[in-house]
Amino acid sequence: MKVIIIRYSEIHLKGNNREFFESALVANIKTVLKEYRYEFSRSNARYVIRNFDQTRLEDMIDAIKNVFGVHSLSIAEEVDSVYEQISSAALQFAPASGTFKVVTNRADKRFPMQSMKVSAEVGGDILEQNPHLKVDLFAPEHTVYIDIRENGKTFVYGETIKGVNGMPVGTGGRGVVMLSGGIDSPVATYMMAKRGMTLRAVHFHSFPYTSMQARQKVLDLAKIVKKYTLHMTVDVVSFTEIQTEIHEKCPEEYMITIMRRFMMRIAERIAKIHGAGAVITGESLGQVASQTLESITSTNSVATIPVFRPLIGFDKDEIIEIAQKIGTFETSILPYEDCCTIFLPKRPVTKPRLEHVLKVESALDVDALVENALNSIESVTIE
Amino acid sequence: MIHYFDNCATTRVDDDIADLIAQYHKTKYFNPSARSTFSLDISNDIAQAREKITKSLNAEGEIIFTSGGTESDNLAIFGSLRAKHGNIVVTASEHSAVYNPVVELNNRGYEVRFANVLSDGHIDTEDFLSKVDNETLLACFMHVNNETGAINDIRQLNSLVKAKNPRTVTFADGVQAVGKVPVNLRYLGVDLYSFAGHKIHCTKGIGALYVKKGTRLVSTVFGGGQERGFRSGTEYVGGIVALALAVEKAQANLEHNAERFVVYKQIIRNSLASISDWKENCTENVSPAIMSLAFADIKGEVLLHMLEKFDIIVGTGSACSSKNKQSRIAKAIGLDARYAEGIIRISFSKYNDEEEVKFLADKLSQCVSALRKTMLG
Repeated sequence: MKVIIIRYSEIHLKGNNREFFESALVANIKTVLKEYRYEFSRSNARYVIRNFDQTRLEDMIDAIKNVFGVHSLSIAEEVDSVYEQISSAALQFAPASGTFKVVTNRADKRFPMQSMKVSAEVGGDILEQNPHLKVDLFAPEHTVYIDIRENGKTFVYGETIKGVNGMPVGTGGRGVVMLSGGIDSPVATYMMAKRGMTLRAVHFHSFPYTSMQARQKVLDLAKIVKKYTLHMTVDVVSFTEIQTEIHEKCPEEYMITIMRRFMMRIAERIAKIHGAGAVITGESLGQVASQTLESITSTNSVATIPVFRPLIGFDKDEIIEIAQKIGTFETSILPYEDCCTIFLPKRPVTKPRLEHVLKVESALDVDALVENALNSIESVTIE
Repeated sequence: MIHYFDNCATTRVDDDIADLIAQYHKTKYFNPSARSTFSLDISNDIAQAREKITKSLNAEGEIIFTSGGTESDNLAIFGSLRAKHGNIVVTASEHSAVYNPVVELNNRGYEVRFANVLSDGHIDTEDFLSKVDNETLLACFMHVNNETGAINDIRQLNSLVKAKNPRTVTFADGVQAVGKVPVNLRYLGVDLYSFAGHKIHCTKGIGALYVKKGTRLVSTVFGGGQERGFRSGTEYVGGIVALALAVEKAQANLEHNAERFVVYKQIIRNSLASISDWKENCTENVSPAIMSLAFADIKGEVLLHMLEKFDIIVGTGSACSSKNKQSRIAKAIGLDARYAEGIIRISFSKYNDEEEVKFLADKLSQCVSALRKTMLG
């Protein structure tokens, strides 16, 4: 019967915080496995999952490897610590071609053979079965591991599957991420979840200027990133009133600057309502007019809590690479957001001066608009 | 109540038709190819449906039932090619279900020649004909343009193409024509003609391809040999029987509906009289069921969403290609850049009444005025 061995990124788990990190990690693993039946146990510096439906093995591996804090996984055969059983399990994990070695760890000193001897004997058995293989002790293409444990059982396994590393979600505070539907913000969400942050999203939509399909696209993206954030609620804010007010009362070239300031104010209010301590955006320095240092200064000046911009130093190509890896790219590039471009000025200011922004903005009843927007919120919890 | 004016995208299923289909789900569910007497009855129902459609549309050949317009178009295009080399002439304004199959033929090494359309969506006959030569395997021309409503004289096109190359197979996409404009297949003379149920108050998932007697067609779907081998797969009996009823009903009410729709169009024109910078994309030889409008400096999609707030549903171009950013048709008919994004399509059905057309006309001019104020010039 196969078992799954999960190893965590131990470096984070030292010291007094160990129990805190571990309990978050275990809870998160159990969250992603909630539709499965299995037995879970801890054994020094790793977790073992047993007695699950063997036909669901691949699905469980896929779910676990995306949990932040998981360093690696192995699919192992658990046998009694008897040489014949160990050897026959090792044959299962032997490669079909190329070079290999066998590594043995003997925690159970009662086992009659020393680890070097076990490796050599099992290696011989593997070669006997497949004489085309070659042993290479220094740079083998494949390794078969034998772990003889103190409880009279032995794990035998082959390749290790890499996990996503990072910190368990729930150990890095709470944040509210601005999710636009583009390529960047889902990646920013992923990056902060990777550092253990518990996230909630805010999306601004401007029906009828943006379509309900555009809103759906954001919910679809939220569903994809939930694989990493584990929980996700999107607060959908109606932004139409604010946009039309700005359009009516402010100079065209300041449209985006002022819009971004409103978004920041609303995101911060949402953060405070839900006990979150940071706002996260997908901004990357200089990518568009609203992401120059001067524009970011204007937007940032309305924030009183930290604003994290995990992509600030990333090139577009680098962001796209992560978006592809986490599976959001295909959805992000669906062409639904174009309606919003109605409000895009032909020549936005790229270097807005804060004094001037404040003057322009004074034409608006900022507090009332923010209140109305907050009252318009529809919270969608992603299942 | 929803005021539905996007009947080119799809239509509400007629109550009688929904009931008829339900019978075939609940009681007459037998496989027409099985050996029991019950199955024989079902098989006879299919034969009767085929006969009804043949009669309604004056078909001079086979009616092959398919899953809808797209499948019929694909069968016509891929099933009729008799040589490994040659060219296909097709109008630039075809629906994606014709356009993309011929693009695929182009990828497979056939030469595809696109013929121009005129500014109102009608086929440029002269240009079309100039592209037909000795090597032309297939000529595709749509009967009614799904975006502008332009009705093409496909009888004339067919005979001109045949005069130039009698071996060329002619195929017309009739999805927006059947049940909306007169369709007499024998008179039209084309070799292949496709149509779909859901455009005429039947269900989605059923359509047909007409194959004129003597036209060589090979199957593209293989299996149990249903539909005389042209389209294997257990028949969607409820859909087939319903399609026959839908065609009959639509044909019976054709003139009556057309007269009503002409009045509807005038109500909308009158209401828009106070607004500047808009145009009707097609006014001559146009389907009474389709009214394509273009407004300068407005995005059609935003207008559509604004109307939604009043429970009014209209279309922007073709729903089937709305996933693509720009309308191929706006480009094909050479619409001025100021108007190109401001297209909406209003399409009527028998369920629309004058009252709600007035409501639409009223809200339409109201929304256009409001948007003109908001949008940046």
